Amino acid sequence: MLIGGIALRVMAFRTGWMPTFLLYGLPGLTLGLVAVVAAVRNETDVPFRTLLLNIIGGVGAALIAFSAVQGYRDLNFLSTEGVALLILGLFTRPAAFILSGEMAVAYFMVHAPRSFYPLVNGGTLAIIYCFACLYLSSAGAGPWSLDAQMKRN
Amino acid sequence: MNKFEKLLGSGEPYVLSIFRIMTGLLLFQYGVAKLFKFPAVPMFEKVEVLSLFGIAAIFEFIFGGLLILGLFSRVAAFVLCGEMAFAYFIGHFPRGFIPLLNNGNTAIMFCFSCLLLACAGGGPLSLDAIRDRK
Repeated sequence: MLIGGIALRVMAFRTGWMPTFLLYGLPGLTLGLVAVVAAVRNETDVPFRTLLLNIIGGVGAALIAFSAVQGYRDLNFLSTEGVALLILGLFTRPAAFILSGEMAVAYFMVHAPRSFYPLVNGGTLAIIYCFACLYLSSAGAGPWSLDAQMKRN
Repeated sequence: MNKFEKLLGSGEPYVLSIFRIMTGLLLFQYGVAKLFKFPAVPMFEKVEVLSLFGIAAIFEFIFGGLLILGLFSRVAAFVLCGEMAFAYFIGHFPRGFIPLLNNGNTAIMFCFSCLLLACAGGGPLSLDAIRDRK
């Protein structure tokens, strides 16, 4: 889910190539959702805080990804669907910011105690998520988002 | 755009540069670990220089280093993007379709990070920016 959201954003931000979004975005979202559900269902013996981090990650990523999906839709969409989705689109930057912080916490809580080198402690993915989300929080959502539509209107 | 978003967006070009440096460092680390065995990782112990892994390691070492410095960062990022896509489809994709199960998350993430860097450039904290100024 997280990777789906970020990949979508990265693609949407500078490339503007619509077929990429349709080909990879929607299946990616579905698979991410399946993976999160599977993880929550199977790992009942993991510590609560790990589960909590996963859920925060899932929700934040959903916010990022969802605003991308909404951005693809028609402009009239805004006026018909109401405020809830508007909030989702508006929260793209804060969602990315929260995820960035979450990944930093995850790195220092889980990976950093094991070793100094990310290659040894297995924290490469957490670092790259952290900095990718930090970039998204500062660069914004790009053209395929509710944020962009708001400006257009 | 509200105040918080303005605050978040105020440092965009510099965050892009920080993102580039981190991506470069992480990729550089893979190159060093495969070529010079530091830090020692059991997975990369038997990597020869003239094998598929070794050539990938040379790419990561050279272009990862260029990404850290910010020299020719667009070209370096473009090459690394292609390399990571190649690595994903050769190394991870045959093991399963879902990235969570075939351990390909890192490769995908590197691939798209490098795609972004190839399009967006290296940002202000780079040798490219110094070179352009002259």
